[in-house]
Formats: sequence, structure tokens, C-alpha cells
Amino acid sequence: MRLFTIHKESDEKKMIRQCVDHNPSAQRRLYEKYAGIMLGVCRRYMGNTEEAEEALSNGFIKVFKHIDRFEFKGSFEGWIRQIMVRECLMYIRSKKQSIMYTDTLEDFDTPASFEPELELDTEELLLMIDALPDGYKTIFNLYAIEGYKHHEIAEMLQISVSTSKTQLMRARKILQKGVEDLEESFRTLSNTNHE
Amino acid sequence: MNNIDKYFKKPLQNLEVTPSDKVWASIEDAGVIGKEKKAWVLPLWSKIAIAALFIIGMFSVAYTRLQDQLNNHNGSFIATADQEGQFGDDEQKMLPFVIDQESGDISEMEPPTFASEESQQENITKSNPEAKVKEMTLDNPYNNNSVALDSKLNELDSIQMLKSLPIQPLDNKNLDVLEVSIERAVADVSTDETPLFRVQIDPDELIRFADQNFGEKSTKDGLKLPTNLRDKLVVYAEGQLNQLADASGLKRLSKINEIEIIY
Repeated sequence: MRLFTIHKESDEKKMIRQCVDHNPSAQRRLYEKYAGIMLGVCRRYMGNTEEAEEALSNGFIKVFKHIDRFEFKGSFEGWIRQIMVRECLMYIRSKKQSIMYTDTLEDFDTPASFEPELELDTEELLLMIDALPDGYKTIFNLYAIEGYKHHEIAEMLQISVSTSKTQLMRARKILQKGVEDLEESFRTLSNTNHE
Repeated sequence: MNNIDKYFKKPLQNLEVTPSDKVWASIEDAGVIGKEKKAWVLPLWSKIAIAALFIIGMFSVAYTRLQDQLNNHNGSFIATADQEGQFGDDEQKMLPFVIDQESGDISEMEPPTFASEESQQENITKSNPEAKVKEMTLDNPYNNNSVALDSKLNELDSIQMLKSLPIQPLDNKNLDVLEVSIERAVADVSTDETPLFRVQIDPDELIRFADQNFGEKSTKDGLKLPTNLRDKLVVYAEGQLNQLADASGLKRLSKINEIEIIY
């Protein structure tokens, strides 16, 4: 005797199937569900909202064109997120051709231990990432935020694994210094106020 | 993971930014969004004509089926009567007893599993020997429904799940095919809390249903259940079980999450 379980189709699965059939209201629902979080993804890579929106709209066009390729394996959000990240990388490649992914290991040293006391808000963290050079920013986003591995990043950006590692170390170093500087300024300001 | 990575990842991973309206507009401009179907507005005369055709069609179907039933009876009959206890030809009501064709004996039928027509039964005079009998066949494969329930519902013995599932054309590309040989099919219907009902499905009925819906592919050695059927089974079971709950004075089920078919 074998057991077979019938599950009701989830609302999301139904919505995706309707999008495959070009149902406009389902497409609108899908957009409304994911547009905010995907613009957040694009915003981290692009550095400003206008360019992020351009990447977002191109990404959604691809999502709707190729939604029939989604095989209901893994999360749908993860699938969209992948498309958005690739769209951002393409955008960066096409519009910002001057990005250099250098591979020199000169000042390659491990950052000192980092245990911040100060809690920065999202906007401030985003500004610090925006201030990174494009190459560093991209690799930091891919590795630290999205969770890609160095060999995946190397393949996506067509660079070597060691370049990916170097750039990540430099990005971390800059960010760490930025947070420490901010902490120092707050400390100084607070001491001044006490005096 | 590095501390600095964690420090940035936590707040930024789920960062949400509300996009401006121009994003959706540019997606629409790209032509990837489907067109809204325009609602058809029919003139009044068309509506009347369609309604008339529909009524004529219904009468024709009913007449044909009645003729078929009269031609194919299997020896037992259901008698019909009007409101005063007289059996009329035009205005008929079902009687809850069986009349044997040959002996003319009248015997009481088992009450319907989900009786909701008690008011009709009250108006019927069971012992009227002068009753005019209208012959109708009981040769309906779905009249012998059987239900097996848990201890609370033992008196209601069984039901066949598939009798009124709507038959719709299926989109073959959505077929999620299950090929199994069936010996016995049982649907365990569970609520959010505990399993409450076990509904037996006659394998022959399951195959018959599959055949009606999906062509000639299903046999006892290979039943094919498309995704669409799964949903229909769940929806149908919800309706049936709520009827059972009503009939037994039990609390209605809020939602059925899954049905298990054991085969």
C-alpha cells in the first residue's frame, strides 16, 4: 500500500500559473508582491533609486517573459531575486564600463576584529555601501548580502576567484573603517556634550 | 560569516523600497502584460433569445433522460405524488419508498444519506393503495453511495466522492500524472486539528471518473490524476463533509487542507 497526498494548490502557485497565461490581474498582483523587495535589491547594487528602478523594470519584463521556465523547484522569490541581480550586473556592465576588478594583493591584510557598539540605521548603511567603488560594492553585495560563493561570483563577473576574494577584503576594510570612524565621531560628540 | 558582513546583511537583506508608478508603466509598455478581457454587453433581445434557447434545451435534456430511464428500469421504482397525496403526472415529488414492479408491494426505502427534503416527505401519504405509480428507474450507479466515518458518524455509512464532480475540459500541459494500480481508494480528510472523516472511494468509480474526464488513459493498472482533479477532489470533499457535519449536528469544518488517497 502506498500513500499519495493531495495538497491544495497554494495561492502563489495559482498566481504564477495565471501569469504564465498572461492574466493581467495576476501579473499586477505578482508585481505588487515583489516590487518593493526587489527594488531594495537593485538599489544596493545601483547606488541610486532612478537606475535601480530601470533595472527593476527590465528585470520584471524578463520575469513575465520567462515565467513559464520557473519549474516550481525552490522559492519563487529566490528565482526573481536571481533575475534582478543578473539584471543589475548587466546594467552595471553596460553603463559603467570603467569598473576595474583589480587583482593585486599588496595591501591584502585581514581587518582587525570588528565589534561595533553603534547601531546604524538602514539608510546610513546603504550610504556607506554606495560610497564603495563599484567593483567592491558589487562583490560585497553578492557575497555578504546575497550569499553567493566566490567561484559563483567569479563566473558571473568573469573574474578570477582570487580577485573576488581580494575585492571583498578591501570592501570589508573600507566599511569597517567607515563604521569605526562614525563611532569615533559619536564618541567625541558625546564627550563634548558632557563637558 | 565575518562580523562586518553580518552587521550589514541583517538590515539590508530585506530592504524594501517603494517603486514609482513609472516602473509599472514601462513594464506595460514592453508588451508583456496580458490584455484585460472586455466584458460583452448583449442587447436585451439577445439575452431573451439565449434564455429561451436555454430553457428549451433544458426541457429537451430532461425529456430525453426521462425517456431513457423509463426504457432502462431494473425492476424497482420510486413513486411520486402531488401535495395532497395524489400522484400526478406533472407536479411530482419523490417518495421515500420502493415499489416492486412485479408484486406491487410497497416497501420503505432507507432514508437518504443527506436528507434535506424532510418537508417534502411530511406531505406524502405512504399507505395510499390507490396511488398512481409513475415508473422511474433506480438504475443509477450513484444511488448506492456508502460512507465510512469515524466513531461519531458510524450511522452514516458511506458516500462516493466522485458522483457530482464537474467535468471540465482539461489543459493537458498541467497534467501532473499519477499512474498507479488501485486496489482500494480512501480519502482521509483532515481538519487543521485532527483527522475527522475517512471517505471510501470505489476504485471503479475513480476510474470511471478519470475516464470521463481524461479520455481512455486510466485503467485499474494505471490511474491518471491531473492537478486539476486534485483540486476538484478537495473542493468536492469539503462540500460533502460539511453536509455530513450538518446532518449529524456536528460543527462544520473550517477548511480541509489535504486528502490522502491510499492505494
